[in-house]
Amino acid sequence: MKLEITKKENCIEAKLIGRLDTLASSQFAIDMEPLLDTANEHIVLDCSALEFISSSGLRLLLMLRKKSIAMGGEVSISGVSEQVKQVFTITGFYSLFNFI
Amino acid sequence: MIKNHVKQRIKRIAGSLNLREVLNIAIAVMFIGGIVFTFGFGACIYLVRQEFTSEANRILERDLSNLHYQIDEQLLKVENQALACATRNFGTITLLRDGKRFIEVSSWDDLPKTEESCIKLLSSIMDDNPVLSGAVIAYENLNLAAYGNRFLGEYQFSRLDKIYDYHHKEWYSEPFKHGHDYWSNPFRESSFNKVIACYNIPMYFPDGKKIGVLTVDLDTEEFTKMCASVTPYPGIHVLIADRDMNFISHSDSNLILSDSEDGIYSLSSRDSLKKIFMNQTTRHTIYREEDGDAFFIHFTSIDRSEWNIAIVCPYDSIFGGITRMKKHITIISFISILFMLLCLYFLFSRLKNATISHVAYESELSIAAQIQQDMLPNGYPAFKNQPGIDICGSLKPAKSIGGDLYDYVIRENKLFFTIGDVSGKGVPAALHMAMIRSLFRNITQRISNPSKIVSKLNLSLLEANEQNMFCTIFIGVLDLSTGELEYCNAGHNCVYLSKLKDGNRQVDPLECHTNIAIGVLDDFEFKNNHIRLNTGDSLILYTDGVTEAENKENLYFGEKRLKETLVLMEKRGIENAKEYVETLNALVEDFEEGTIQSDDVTLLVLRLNSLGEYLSFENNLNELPKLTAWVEKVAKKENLSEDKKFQLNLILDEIAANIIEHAYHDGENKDIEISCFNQNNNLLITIKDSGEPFDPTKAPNPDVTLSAEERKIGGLGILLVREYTREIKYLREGEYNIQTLLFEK
Repeated sequence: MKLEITKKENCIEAKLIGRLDTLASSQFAIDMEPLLDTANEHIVLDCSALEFISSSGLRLLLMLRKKSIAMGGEVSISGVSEQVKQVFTITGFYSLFNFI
Repeated sequence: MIKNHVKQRIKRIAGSLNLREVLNIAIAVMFIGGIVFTFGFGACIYLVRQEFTSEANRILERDLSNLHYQIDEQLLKVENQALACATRNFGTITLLRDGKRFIEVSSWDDLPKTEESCIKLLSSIMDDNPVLSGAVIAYENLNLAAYGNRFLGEYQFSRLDKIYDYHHKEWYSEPFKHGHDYWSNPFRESSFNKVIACYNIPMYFPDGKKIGVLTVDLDTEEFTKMCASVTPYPGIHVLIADRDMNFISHSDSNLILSDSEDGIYSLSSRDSLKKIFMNQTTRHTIYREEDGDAFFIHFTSIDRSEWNIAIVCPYDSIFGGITRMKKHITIISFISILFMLLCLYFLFSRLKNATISHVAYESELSIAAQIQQDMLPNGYPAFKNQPGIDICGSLKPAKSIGGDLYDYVIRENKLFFTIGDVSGKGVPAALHMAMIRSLFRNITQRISNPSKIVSKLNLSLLEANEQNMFCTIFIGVLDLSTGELEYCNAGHNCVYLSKLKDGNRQVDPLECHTNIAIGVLDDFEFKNNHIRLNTGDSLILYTDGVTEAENKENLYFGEKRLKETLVLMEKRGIENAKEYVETLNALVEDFEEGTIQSDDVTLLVLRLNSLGEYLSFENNLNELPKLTAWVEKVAKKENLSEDKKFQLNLILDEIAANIIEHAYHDGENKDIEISCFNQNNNLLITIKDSGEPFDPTKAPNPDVTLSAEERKIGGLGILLVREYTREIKYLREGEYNIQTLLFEK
């Protein structure tokens, strides 16, 4: 699992690459700390390369979303595969994020 | 594990053996028996007494009439001799109408008128008649009465007229009074102390003028002898009394012609005798004395001399035997009844104890048998979460508990199975069987090489084996993911393999190294065999109880018949291992035709339905990539779509993570085992862990409608698992959590 954070003009783009499974989540939690610091901004999570996500991954995204709301930012998700999207739908997370 | 029916049986038998009740019944039976016996016995005694009485009467009557006849004849003889003497010397006999007689003398000259002639006459009378003890001739007017008697062969003569006035004596006066011959009452001749009876004949001239009396004497001692010879019964008394009831003959000689009223019987009383003898109608009677003694009395009288003869027989002489017998029988019966009571008491108390201890022993045996049965795996299907393997065993013990065993256990992806036969039967064999079975369970936790398992068992069995018990055993280890079977046959019967070959079922014995039975040699090197099983293959294991099952003709079931039976069964088609075992058992039973099973009959059948995928990893998140790789493998094998693969991965990741993160607290390394089988085009996935009990099916779903601020972390994993599986089941088995998922392909 890799996380690539790129500062763009109107947003911060974070690309999730690989599997965000339970094992990867602990590393991802550390990797995403810079994102949390910039939670007042518009963060776009590029999930086009996200192969897999487990509930622990979802929890981290929820954490980011909560911080973003608290700091007046926004979190959008782009390029999710059907499989990952389904996970969001089942868990009710789909309505919590702005899917683009 | 005492089964209820065993308890009830003990209670029922013990309850039905209430000693008091049994004793009561026994006493009642004996009491009734006693009454019946007493009545029967009494009736018998009565009948016997009747019989004895009539017999006694008959005998007494016979003896009395004999005696009567003898005495009467003797008296008649004396009479005739006297009369003959008179007619020979001086007169003729005149017979009266009633048989009485007197002597008529026509000429005075014919008579002896001097003392000398008298003595001469008397001598000649006595000479002629030895029975006579004496004779007298006495004249009315001549004042001459000569008396001659014989004592010790010497004649003595005396002149009675010189002793007393004989005219008034009974012997002289009575004959004239009656006008014919007359037996005067006997008297005691004092000179030689004899009781003499006198027969007196009056002599008349033709004109009726009195001449005198001719008398002959008779010693009555002869009658006493006759009386004494009457002895039909002991203690019998025969007595003769004259017309005045003076005893002429009596067993107590003191009473003869005595006035004494004392005697051995009060029958000596003249009055009572008179009373008895007066009763001339019955001629026999029963006389009871005041002190209770009773006598049979038979009596008669001799008309000639007006004597009375009586036979007096004490009751005791007749019934003494019966009375004694009655007494003895009563005592013997009483003792017998007491003895029987004692015997009954001991018998029943023994019986009760014996039965109770027997019942206890039997129930213990049946409990032991139950424990033994409980030791054997008996659930079916044996492994609900392992549809790939279908296994079933049965053990029918010959003597409630036996020495056969079978067992199977799955550890990770391996099925360990065994069948064995401990030598001998009963408790010792069962104990060894239990030991081997628990060793099998123990050893297979660490060792998965069959020959090594057998070696370990061998050494353990040799360690504590003073009984020289040995055991034939077959141990197989089947890899459920590959079908690879390693096995070691230690002296056990061959094992049959049924497999599909060219579209046909073929049954063949498994090839086996010839290993020795365990418990014999400690350094024997056991060798494994190897074969690969295909799905659909079956293994049929059995003990010699099957092949040595006997029928009524003493024929064995045998290997050949077994193989033929298996082929036939395979042809007909067998649904599963359980049906296999049941059908084979039924066929063996049919063969036995109800003969008593001589050995344990044990069967173990396993069939490989499908190969499963197995994974075992430690409770560490770093192990999860193994799980991902395994899912990859399963997906490839089962041709899962990407979506399905994703879902399966997600489910297992969530479950495994949940277990790793929450189930363990002590930081120990534990294995989590996962297996996967294709079951009717679904995947049956089993996850087994040894963590804290946790039932995921009971966990609540999170509220997915809440806003981001309100949402809590947690519960999402379970939600996803529920969403992606068709069915989740949870089971706590011993120290294991077992989750079973049905995943749609």
